[in-house]
Amino acid sequence: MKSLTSNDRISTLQLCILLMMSMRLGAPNTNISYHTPYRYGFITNSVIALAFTAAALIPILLLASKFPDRTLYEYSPELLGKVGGGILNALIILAAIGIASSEMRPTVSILRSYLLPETPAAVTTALIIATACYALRGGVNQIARSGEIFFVISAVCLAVVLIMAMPYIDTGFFARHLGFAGVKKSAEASFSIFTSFFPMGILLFFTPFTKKRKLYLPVAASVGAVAVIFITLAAAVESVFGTVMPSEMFSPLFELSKIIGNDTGLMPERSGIIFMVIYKLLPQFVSCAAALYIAALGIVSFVPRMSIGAAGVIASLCTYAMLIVPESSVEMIAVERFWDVVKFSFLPMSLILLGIFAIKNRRKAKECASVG
Amino acid sequence: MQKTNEAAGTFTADIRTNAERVRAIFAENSDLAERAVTSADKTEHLLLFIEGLADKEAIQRFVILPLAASDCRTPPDALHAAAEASPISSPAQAAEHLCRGSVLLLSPRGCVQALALRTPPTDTGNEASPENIVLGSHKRLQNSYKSNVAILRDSIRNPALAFAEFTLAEGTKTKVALCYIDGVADAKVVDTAKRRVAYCAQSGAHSVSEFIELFKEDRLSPFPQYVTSERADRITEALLRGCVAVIPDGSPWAIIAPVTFTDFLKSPEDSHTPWIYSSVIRLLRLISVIITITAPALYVAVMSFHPRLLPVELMISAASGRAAVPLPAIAEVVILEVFIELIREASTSMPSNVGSTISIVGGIVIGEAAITAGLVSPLLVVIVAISAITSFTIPVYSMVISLRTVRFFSLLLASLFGFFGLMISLIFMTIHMVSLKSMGTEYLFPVAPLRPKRWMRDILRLPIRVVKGGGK
Repeated sequence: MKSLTSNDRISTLQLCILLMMSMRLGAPNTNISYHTPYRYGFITNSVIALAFTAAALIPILLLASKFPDRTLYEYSPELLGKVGGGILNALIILAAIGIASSEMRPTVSILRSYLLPETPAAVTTALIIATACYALRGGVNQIARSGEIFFVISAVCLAVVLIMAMPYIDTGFFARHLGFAGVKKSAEASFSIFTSFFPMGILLFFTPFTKKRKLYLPVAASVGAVAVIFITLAAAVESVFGTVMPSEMFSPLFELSKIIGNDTGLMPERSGIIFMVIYKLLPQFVSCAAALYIAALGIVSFVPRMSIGAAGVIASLCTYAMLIVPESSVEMIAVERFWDVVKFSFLPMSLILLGIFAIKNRRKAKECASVG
Repeated sequence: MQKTNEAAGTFTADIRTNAERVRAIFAENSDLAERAVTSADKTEHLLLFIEGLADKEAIQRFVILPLAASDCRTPPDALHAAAEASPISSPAQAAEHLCRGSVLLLSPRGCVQALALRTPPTDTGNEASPENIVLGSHKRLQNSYKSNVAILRDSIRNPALAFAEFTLAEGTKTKVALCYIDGVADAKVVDTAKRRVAYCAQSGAHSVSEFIELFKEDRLSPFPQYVTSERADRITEALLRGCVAVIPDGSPWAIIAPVTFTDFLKSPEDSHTPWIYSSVIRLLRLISVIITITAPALYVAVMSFHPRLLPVELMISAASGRAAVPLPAIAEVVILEVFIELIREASTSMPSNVGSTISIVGGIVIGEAAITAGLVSPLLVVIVAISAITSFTIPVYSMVISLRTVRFFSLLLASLFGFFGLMISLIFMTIHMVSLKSMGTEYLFPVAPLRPKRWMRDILRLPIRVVKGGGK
């Protein structure tokens, strides 16, 4: 068993911050709320989705708590055998690289649309990936501590945008969107929000680095905080643009920030967009770095002599390749959908592994009883 | 203070045992001197004093000579009269007197057991030129090792103040003192510091900058990981906080460790001004850091990539200012920045009266001429000037130089990728700073690791009642 050193430890607060950042601090493309089949039950759907998210994290936390101080890469061969564990680890590495690329893709698109329309995406992508790769150099601690700083900055930017958006927020929104249109429609709507929010293996791979074992409450609080931010942002967007326009927009939140910068007079014109770039870029950057770290950990589990930095470089190169391959927007959306599903697959995988663990434990207990 | 308690007790008949008891209180200290004096009746007396703190000439004149001439086992009356002698009953009391610059006279039983003879040190106060302040003490370190030890001893009259002495193995054979307060400084930090000073002593480093280079965890980092100061009050404050100070002989500078980024924003003057004012000033210094790094880069980003981000009136004004400038924004900024750096370099290496002339000629005359000649725009002059001024509000010079250097990195990325480049450079710098440690302490504490409760204390300055948790 490989024991973690004190340098590899992160605090519960750092874990929660990483979790919130990987859920993009409640600001995924808010137009997902308008693509849902039943828009007027939006708050109900969001609450259901986030409650599901919190519930779905329980088996993951449970699995991680069964193997304290060890990552999935270390205990998967114990549960699935050497070959099975190896295959699973390889798939997780692939998934982590894919998820890292899908985390970065929206940022690259935003940069192209709003800030650098003439700069090739391959160049901006390379810059982001190189910086994320640099963050891996210091291991989990460096990612967690960078996450803390970026969380504070993102939170300040979000607060500024939300405060400026206050005059626009229609309080009637909250009453209008508390409807419920039956189980089928609500479930369908909630699922699309759920898959968008579900954090990839942050908890599965970063929990072993924390000292505290009972993490349910902090994790639930983090998901709750994200839910509040998400609903408030959606309220602001709908109050300004109504219910039809946002579904046509690439990023309603960006459009909102542009408008409030121009209208309120509190900030220089169009300054809202700067805040939004910071607010969007930082959480996605942290999520990407975390996913790359997961991939790098996996590579190190196959090649133990390799340093985490070198493994990070390999993972970064693969991510870069994945980012620049899809050319058309149709391909891009398809790829993004695919990785969303892959992200979600961490939940059934945890449940299966938990089941195998329970069966193996029962067998062991029986064997012990028969020997006794 | 544990050692003080252990050694506390009374004196015995044996002066050697008594001396050992006093020494035990000063366990690590290399500055506690001992001298045996034999009086005319062949009685042996022992003198203990702290080197540099006690006046040796006074000791010779008022203690040693009368004692050697006396034929009685009791110290002569002249001693009492001349040196403000007071009887001492315990080693702990003796230690306190020694820290105040007294000489301890240990005589055999049958006469006065111990006398503390006050021989005040010569005034070591001096104007601290590179770290100027308006309010507060002006006492600074000297070039002599002994004087520096005495200055710190005079500031912290606590026997727990320890000086571990090292001597360089090669070349100059310079002495190096590692100073800390036993029981206040973290034992791990002290051990690490001892190992590193010993390593430096073996490596032949003799200047403060060489020591810092060898101390650094990340040697390629442009950010200073140790505070250097010649101010006695800054060093004293750091020692009382649990830091260690490394003071090489022949240099008036001490290296303070461990430090965090916020320590570079603190000035010794802060504790001499009202807490609200100090807190505001510290916040201003933090904003200064951000302005220093981002202002010129932001100018390039906005002018070259996102002019529409500016309010319309400002955009028109900036565009008209730049209309006569044939150079791209980045070339304009680099020319002016290099020019400012040259003025800074010239004014620091010149005598102060010539330095101010260079600043005036460089800043006003050439700056004005550059605008008229169409080399730079007026808005840029304002931005670069603000950036230069803000950089000099940071109290520690090594951080000033560091910030002025790293902003060229931001400038480069901003010129290539605009606001996104600036963001990436800041992210890169943050990740780099997060990875830094100063003798095991996180550089960006209390922001990373996040300790919001410590923000008020470490970033701002809280009222003394709150810090100490006292009442009225």
